[in-house]
Amino acid sequence: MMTLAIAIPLIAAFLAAIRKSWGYILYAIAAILNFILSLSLIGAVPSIHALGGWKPPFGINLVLDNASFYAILFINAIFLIVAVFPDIIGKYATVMLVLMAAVNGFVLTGDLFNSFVFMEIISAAAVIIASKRENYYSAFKYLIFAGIAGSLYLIAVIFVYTQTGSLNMAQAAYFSFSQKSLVAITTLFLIGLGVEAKLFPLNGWVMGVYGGNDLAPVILSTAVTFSAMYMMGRLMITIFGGGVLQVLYVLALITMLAGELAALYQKNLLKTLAYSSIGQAGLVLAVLSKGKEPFTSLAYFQLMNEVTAKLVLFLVAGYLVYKYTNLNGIFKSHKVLGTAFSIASFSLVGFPLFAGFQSKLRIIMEAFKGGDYLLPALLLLATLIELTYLIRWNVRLWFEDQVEEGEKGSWRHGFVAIALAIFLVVIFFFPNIYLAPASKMADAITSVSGYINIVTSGLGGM
Amino acid sequence: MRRLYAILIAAGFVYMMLSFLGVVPGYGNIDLCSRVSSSFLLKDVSEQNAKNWLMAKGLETKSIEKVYGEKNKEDGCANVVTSIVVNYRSFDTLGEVTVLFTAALGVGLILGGTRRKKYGLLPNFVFRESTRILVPLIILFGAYIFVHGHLTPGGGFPGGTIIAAAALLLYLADEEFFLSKVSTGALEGSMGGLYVIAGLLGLAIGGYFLYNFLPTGRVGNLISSGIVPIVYTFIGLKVGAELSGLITDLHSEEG
Repeated sequence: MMTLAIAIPLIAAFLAAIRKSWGYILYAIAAILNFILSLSLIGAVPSIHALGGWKPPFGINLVLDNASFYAILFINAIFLIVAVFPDIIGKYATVMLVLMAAVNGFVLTGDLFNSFVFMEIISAAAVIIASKRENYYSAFKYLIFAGIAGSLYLIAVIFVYTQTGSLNMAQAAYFSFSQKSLVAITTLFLIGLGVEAKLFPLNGWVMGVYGGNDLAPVILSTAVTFSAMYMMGRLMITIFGGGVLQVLYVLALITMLAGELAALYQKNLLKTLAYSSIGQAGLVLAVLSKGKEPFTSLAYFQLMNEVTAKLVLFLVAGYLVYKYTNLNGIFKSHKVLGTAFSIASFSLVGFPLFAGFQSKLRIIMEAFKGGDYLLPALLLLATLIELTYLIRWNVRLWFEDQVEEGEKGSWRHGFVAIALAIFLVVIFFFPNIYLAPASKMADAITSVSGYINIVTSGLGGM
Repeated sequence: MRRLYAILIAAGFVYMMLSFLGVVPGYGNIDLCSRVSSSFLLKDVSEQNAKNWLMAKGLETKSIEKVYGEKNKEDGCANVVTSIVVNYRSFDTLGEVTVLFTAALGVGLILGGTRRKKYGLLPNFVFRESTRILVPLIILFGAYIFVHGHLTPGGGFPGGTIIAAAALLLYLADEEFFLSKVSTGALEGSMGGLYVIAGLLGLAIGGYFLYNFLPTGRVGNLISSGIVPIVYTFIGLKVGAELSGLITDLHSEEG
């Protein structure tokens, strides 16, 4: 059944190539079907699917455990939400369908080379999406980054193959690598995934791509980032446990501070949010790099909060930036959008009453418990910077003298943005909506033997 | 200053890669029996105990000898590369087909036009006339390559590329020639869709996506190895249509 999550969008993409005008309708149908399908997969957790009927170390297998189940559920929900906006998707519906198939495949796959293939598709589709609104220079920069990252990812896969003799993730997780080869493999994987995960020296593309059009940030900063973070946990913790997690920790802390500082000096709304998403990615990676519970679950909890908030922020910002040239006081004529924007930004900062508070507070408390004072200190500093620029933007968009006459807003944007914003408040009161899936994901990711067991017991009937 | 940084980063990168090279076993020091590929070569995947493979490494079961021309239940491909690419790891190939599809889509979105770009050059008479003879032969050769993909070297990707070479020749020989994007798009979309449908049929019949549900036949026959030649035909036509569409995009302009 789980292959359908890849097959449905893929077949829809091929059909959309036949007649361009079918694109959006096919995208909407595929998004709805995929969301229903990923909900219905809950009965199949945990299981594997051996493609072509070939047993896992020889053939390719898809692994559906708690981690990949909640990841595809979350990702398909985002694709469904984006399906509400035909005007944002425009003629990019076919590319979005390919991206949907690839992200689902990337999360589900249990084979290293197969994950490389899906990463290639993700970067190809993402580069096309980034080129919307003639944003060619940034898209080209992204293409170079993604191309180099992809080739290093492939070299890492080759290294694993020379050591273990197979491309299977479960076998690699079982295999005991020498320390030297583990460092080589994890470094290469870190560079390969670091581009999509927006890790410090590899995130030069983010500002141009997220700041250049309205579609790219909405989908790349949410679904694609989520899948990259999922894979980061899967590879760095489950399969190649240990490795260069310390390096990741340091780089992630630099990413967090650098991203927030750059956002502080940014004058363009979309670019500010782009830098802010770099900073947030740094926080998630720093917490993830601790490599053990409860940090892993908190990392995914924080990631879910951040992605939900960023979806609202980028939807509103992308809509307004391309409608008006001067944004001063624009929320006076878009009160619903403005409210949603403010709620999402407060959640991002971590004010009480909003979702971000729950995750950030927990991260700080757990870090103190573990005797790590560096992470809380830097997190608080980053939050302070974040607070400064988000409040500044809120004040500017709400209270400055309005320059341009406001037009009638789009009800779709208003409805989705306010619904997600209310959801962020609901999560503050019932954090288990996100925390329970996040901790199930983290359990599956930190349990190496559990992962191997799922694959080997899946072999039973073959 | 920027150049200095670039040199420093490049040097660091080269040093890193060189130090990683020590991890790779030297030439001739690899135990080939501990590779999954040895099972692909011996065609004994279904005889192996996968659990032992995952837990320890190395071949355990001694494989039964396979003879060319005999009925082979494993996969029936005479060409071992094809049996890996379109049978054991067919899902990767579906992915690679999608990569090409996405790339062609991107070129279409960025460069695509509606009118043939004219260069104002009249090609040589010999070239123009010989193209008319060559094009059908090239298409026939391309079709031969992908239809025989499971028997001889070649397959869907090279076959499709050869077919696209015919389209390129037509573009070079004739200023007026223009393939409509509708027809190439329809061919590429329907062939890609048929590949996925072949996979879904496997799911419906055998319980596994991309399962080889047709009889595998005798090794070496044209009609053998189940869905492999069918899938390769889809891939060949799809790649041919895709690359022809790409050439069309490169030779077109807005208007």
